[in-house]
Amino acid sequence: MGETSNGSSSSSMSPVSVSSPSIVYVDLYGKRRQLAKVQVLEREIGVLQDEIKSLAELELASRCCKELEDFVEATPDPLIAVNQSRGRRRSCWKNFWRKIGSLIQCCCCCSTKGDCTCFPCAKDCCRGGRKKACSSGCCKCPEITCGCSCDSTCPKCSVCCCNSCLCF
Amino acid sequence: MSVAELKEKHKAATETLNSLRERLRDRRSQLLDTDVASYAKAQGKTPVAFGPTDLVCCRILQGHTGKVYSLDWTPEKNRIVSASQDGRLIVWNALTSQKTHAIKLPCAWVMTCAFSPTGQSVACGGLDSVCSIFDLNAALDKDGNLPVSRMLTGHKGYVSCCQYVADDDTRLITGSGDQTCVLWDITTGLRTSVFGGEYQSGHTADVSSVSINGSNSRIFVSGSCDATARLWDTRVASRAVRTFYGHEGDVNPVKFFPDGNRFGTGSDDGTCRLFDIRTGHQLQVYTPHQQQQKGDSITSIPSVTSIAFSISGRLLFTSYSNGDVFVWDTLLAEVVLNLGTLQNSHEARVSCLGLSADGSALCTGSWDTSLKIWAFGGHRTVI
Repeated sequence: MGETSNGSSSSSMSPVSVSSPSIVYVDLYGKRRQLAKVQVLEREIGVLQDEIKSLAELELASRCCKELEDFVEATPDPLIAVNQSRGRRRSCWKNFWRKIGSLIQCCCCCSTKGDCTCFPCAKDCCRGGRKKACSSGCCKCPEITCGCSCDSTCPKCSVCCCNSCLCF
Repeated sequence: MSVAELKEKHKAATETLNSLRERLRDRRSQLLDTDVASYAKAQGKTPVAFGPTDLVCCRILQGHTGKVYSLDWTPEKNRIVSASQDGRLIVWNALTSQKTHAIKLPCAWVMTCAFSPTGQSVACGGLDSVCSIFDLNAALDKDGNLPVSRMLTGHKGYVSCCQYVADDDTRLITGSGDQTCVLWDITTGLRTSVFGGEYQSGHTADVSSVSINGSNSRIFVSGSCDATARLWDTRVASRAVRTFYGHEGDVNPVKFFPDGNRFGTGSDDGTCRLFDIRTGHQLQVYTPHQQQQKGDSITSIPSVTSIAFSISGRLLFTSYSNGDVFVWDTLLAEVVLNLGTLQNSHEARVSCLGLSADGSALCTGSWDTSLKIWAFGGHRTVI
């Protein structure tokens, strides 16, 4: 519904006769807006009153905290080491095997050619110092990731113009 | 009743409303017998421990020439779409770092992007007040650009956020500077429902973020510059199911907790909060240690720009306007790592972050124009 600053549409203004000969125009358009706003507030008041009543049956926060903790404990997380829950009992041998283990994981994944399928394997042992240039001359290929910072003036560079990156 | 009398009635109703809100807040505080951290400590939990090489930057995605504002992963396959100040969307293969699409947008002022559930389409929106859909398999136009396949018009303000409804490439929810959220039917381009608005019970300031419940796609939460978050049921557009108060500044990001019964928020007041959708309880406040020191003026508090939960919910990733990226132990409300200080950290503010579908990688997008992918670099005990 369009808004006019003075509500001068003839359909929203209605003359009201009073005892004096002059006629007063009542802004009915403004009245409708105000009425709508009041109705919204009254509805909000009703919602809040219902919410206050419902608090009597509401469970305590501790119940929600328990549910949350139960869910977290029951769900495996790839970003957290499995033996975290046992606390800090790492020994130097454990750290040693940890490093060896991660290297072994890394090498196993990188032994296959083609797309590496695990994120952690973008480590130095996988790249092994191999640094290859992109096959297309218009792309600058940063050594670490082979992400192309393509030259915007190059007509081929609407997408990355590097062929399969062999940096991994 | 005259306009003057209605104005008086409006004033009285506002006072009643404020009084009821205070009463509700006081009654609710009596039900907060504990918070998540106190409960976890009482159970003997110890914080998650991260070594210096446990979470490493394993990919750097370079190609944008402007600030990165938004990113989204595909639900399957490791692809990411990002939106940037340079007026482009880029679709990345996150494993190889290659770009598969670089989409020049009709309006450069983009603020948000999203991947469709099947990964066939991407959506974006921004200052043009339109949500544009691109079919990634469509033929390029004569200028070599990917054409817009559908424009969702109707918002009266900028589109700040968008998310596809799970398992449905034809429905999407947007949030806008016009204070509303809209559920769209992409096939017809029409609005199915409008949540909030001038004469509806909704947000009273710009909507900044939305998050759809992963367990029940009829439920979503929105965050707003009116300092509240609101829970909506898509079957009832006339009013929010519940309004969550607590923040003292604009609510920027909102994100559902993995179990679907809680959600997190981040705000200009520098805190993140965890709310329960069924009870409305505020279960935890995550306040960085620096803010807990007295004497910090409100102008020096860094805003929360983005949040994400790990797949179990044990970790909460939060980015701030000062470049910090904290990893919180959600249960103990302690910061266990700051990605902003690690090797290969971003050189400017992190504006967006998101977890891959399988929870094995985190992607951060920054004003330094790059995206980075972080993954667990430590050793796992095989059971």
